[in-house]
Amino acid sequence: MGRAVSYVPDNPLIVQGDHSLLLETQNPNHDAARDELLGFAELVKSPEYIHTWRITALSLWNAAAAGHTAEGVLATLERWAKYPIPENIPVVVREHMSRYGTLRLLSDGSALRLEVDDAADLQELLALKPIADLLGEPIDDRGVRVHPRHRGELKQVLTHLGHPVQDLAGYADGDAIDMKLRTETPDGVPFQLRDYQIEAIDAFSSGPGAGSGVVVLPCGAGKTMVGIGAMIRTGMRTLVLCTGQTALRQWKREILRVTSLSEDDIGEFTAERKSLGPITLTTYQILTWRADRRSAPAHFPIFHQENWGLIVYDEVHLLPAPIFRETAMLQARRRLGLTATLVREDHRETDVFALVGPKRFDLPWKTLEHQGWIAQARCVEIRIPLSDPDRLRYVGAGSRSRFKIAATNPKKTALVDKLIERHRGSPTLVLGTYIDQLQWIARRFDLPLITGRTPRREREELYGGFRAGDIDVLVLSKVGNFAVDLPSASVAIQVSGSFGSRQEEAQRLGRLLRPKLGENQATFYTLVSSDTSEQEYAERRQLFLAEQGYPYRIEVEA
Amino acid sequence: MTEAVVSLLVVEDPALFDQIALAVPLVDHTLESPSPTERIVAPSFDGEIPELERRGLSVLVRNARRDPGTPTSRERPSVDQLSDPARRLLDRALRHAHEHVAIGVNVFDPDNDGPVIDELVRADLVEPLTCADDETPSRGSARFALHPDLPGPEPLDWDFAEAVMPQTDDLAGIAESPSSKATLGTGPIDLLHDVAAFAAAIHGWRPRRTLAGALTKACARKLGHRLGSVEIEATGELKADPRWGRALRALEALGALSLDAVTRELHLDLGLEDVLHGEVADVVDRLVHRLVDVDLRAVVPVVREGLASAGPDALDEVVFVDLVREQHRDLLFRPWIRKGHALYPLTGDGVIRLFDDDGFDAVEAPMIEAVLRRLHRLGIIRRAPGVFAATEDGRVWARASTTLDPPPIWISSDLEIIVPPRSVTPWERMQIERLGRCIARDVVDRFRIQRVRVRQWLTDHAIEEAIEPLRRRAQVLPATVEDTLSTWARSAERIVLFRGLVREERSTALR
Repeated sequence: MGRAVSYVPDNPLIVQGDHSLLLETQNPNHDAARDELLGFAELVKSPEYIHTWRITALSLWNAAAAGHTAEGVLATLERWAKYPIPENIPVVVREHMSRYGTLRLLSDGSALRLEVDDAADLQELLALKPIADLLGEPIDDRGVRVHPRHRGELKQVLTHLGHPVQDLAGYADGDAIDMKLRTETPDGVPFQLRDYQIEAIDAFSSGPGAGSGVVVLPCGAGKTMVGIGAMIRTGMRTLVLCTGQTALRQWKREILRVTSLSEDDIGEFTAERKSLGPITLTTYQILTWRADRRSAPAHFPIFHQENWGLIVYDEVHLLPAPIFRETAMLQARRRLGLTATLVREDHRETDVFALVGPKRFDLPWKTLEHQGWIAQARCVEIRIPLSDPDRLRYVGAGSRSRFKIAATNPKKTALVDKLIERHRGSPTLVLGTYIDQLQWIARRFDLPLITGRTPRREREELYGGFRAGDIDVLVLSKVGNFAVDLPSASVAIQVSGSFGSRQEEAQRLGRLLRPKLGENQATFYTLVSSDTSEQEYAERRQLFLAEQGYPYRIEVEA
Repeated sequence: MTEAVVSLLVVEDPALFDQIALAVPLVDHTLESPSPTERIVAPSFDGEIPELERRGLSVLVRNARRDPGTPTSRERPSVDQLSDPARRLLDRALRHAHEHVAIGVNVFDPDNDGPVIDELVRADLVEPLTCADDETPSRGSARFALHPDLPGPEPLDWDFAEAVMPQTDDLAGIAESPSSKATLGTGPIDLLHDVAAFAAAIHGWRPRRTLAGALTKACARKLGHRLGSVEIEATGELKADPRWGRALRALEALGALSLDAVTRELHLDLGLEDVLHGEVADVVDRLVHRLVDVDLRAVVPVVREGLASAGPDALDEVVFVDLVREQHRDLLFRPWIRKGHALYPLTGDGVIRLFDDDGFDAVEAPMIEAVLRRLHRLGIIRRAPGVFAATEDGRVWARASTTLDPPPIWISSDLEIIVPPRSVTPWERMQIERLGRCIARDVVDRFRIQRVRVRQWLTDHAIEEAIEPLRRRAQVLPATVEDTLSTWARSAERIVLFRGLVREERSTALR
């Protein structure tokens, strides 16, 4: 790599040869550059002062799908770059973007036609062994027949081979439904979709390949509303796949709140109920359930037995692998993925692109925060020392025990009291991993507690009380991580954290980010025993928060 | 009075001694307890450190550093009392000295400068290093040691305006960045940065060389990991990434690396700081001086002066050499006057050469040419027939650069440091590279500060010495980064073992 010589200090962007893009946030041109980068690059992390983006084959294909050109992308990079663009970047951009659109899947009567731009490309395609069994007979020198049942798998394999397919074959219409958006909720509150939600729905519903794709919005931004809007726009029978029971209930609540549908119109396909309706809600767990390891998932037929017009994959980054396979068979149906991040722990983003669809809409956290749609979050880590006897116990213990000793430091209890007092009157969640610790806190301060063992009815009552403002402080175990809609929470106190993934961290923070009346600020406290292994794990968590652009402060208690 | 080497164990809180005692037999190693938070321990305590580490009681080991204010430092010598001839001769000696040693044949005429030499010897400013038994110090002495605390020589006055000319077409066609085969393939500033990075990567451990002279594969892989070189890490061969082979050779040429003949381990010498410290122009100058032959070094500042005059323009080589002859004929050799004739110093081989223009063309002109060749190879100048000009690095060296202020570094709250080109000095680079792992060397270099590396830093530096350059160079230093570094330091310094202290048995003082 050559050493850069010329330098334009007023520009905000550094383009690296490894395809990463570094954007200086305090530069006056930052916002303009960022808005342009959104179209063809992925935001990887956003700590203070410098945000890291990356151009990938996938991001460039997504850009091409949205109508961007290679020259447009390069012009953007040139316009904003501080240093000369590395020589390999134009080659990479042109190469990747030129590939999107050269392979097209079209409808051809009852079958499909895979079409290329010229005859040489077709020969190259026919020579690819991984797809040999998925292709039918050549139709002419630029097209080959494809059986509809191979539509998904063919796109998946070709995408993995670096040949994205533009699916223009259209969709089968599902049964029509009559569903409208309310202008006022049942309790008389005026309602309308936000501008960016409408833009997201428009992006999904129009343009080439419309009807399949992924909408990326941060936690708290109202992805559920985007899903509901897409259902209304499509006007067809819809299957919604949720991450769990609580999320399912949240969807149901929102659908009833903002649409014309009634309780009878919403089916629930769960362990307890197997009802289907114009809108049917189910979970990934029930769909992938199998009687034993050798059996096929028992409930997959639900995908095919109804005439769905739209399938919604909530938190599509968590889509389990078996459902990818079924999704490959559903390519004739419209598909909408909703997520806060395209990043998957199993790196199957390409499968999401191929089988659910390309990214259709994206808006970063900070933009929504600046516009007031999500709360400003402050993150504070408070370090507390262990007492001398606990320190002695810690020193003499094995590594796993040490973590628990640190996490359940009794001195944290007094701190919880102090923080609750500091934020008296603000809706507060106390989160933790160790049940005995949470039980102690709940008893000590006479607070309601929800764990995995709390009966569902009691759980719903407590959530309802918290939402209504009857309960100020709620203590939650790990169950509080997942898809709990507690819009009025403005303080979270994490007394012990698990070895969690980035998604868990995002979800925990997401619980706080709903817009709040008044100050619209949320505070996330993490209590950590200083000079322990807990502190080391906390540092990793801090990195995630910093990556997302949330500055955190460290306080030290004596 | 006898002396013993001991260690001093210092804890943040006296209760820590109880925890230590629970884990290891502290009392067996303790010699004395000067205070509630201090124990003087025997060197045998070192053996307990791994067990303490296992028990979550990490010990930060620091080796004692010599206090710069020790009695061995001398007062700066005075030159005020010297006669004018003595002062001129001393200047000449300083100009030709290498590591405070001057060779007599470059400096003085033994027949005529005897009294002046005697004056300098009496003033304790020079000391003859070799002396025949029956000769006075002023005669026949081949080398002289100069007082190490003497200030630098007075610069000579030069006027190279007549040699300055616009760049010729063939010179302008040569790329500024020296990537041709005739050169090292990298400019001196980038080379110095690579030297700093390499030194940081081997700091705190000792890579081993095979008998064939290459680094062992395991060491090369570790080095590759630290440098962020995927090629070296994958292959275990330094030659997989030529840049780092160059850096290693440069470190050796600078005398900053030594090889233990028995263990074949490479040691980084503390003297590297003397080379890399300070402004970039000065660091380049030290590099140039180290890489030019000793006999030719007097020419180096002259070329530097010429390039400073030329700025972005070029210099006519013939006119330049002529101006050197006209303005300071005795730049390289002091003529010996014998029987009214000025001669080149007699070397005992029977050759007598007149110190005239023909002599200059035969002797000094080729030496100047040799320096220009060397500077070209180092990437300081570009050359075309009859003309030469500074490269971008050469202009920095000559302080004739018109570049903008250096760009800032960026530090993000997730502990990443982004270092653009030419944003820090080589010494600052070494400090940054010691604090973190390199995650990319690209248009800009990226580092992730790591706790283990900061802890390594603390073995011989205070945390403020790490924070200060970051604060100075960064656009903004996030409070969380500063807090994190301070917290790590506090945590690391809970238990500190100062090794290598000397205790005089009749006194409790440690030094």
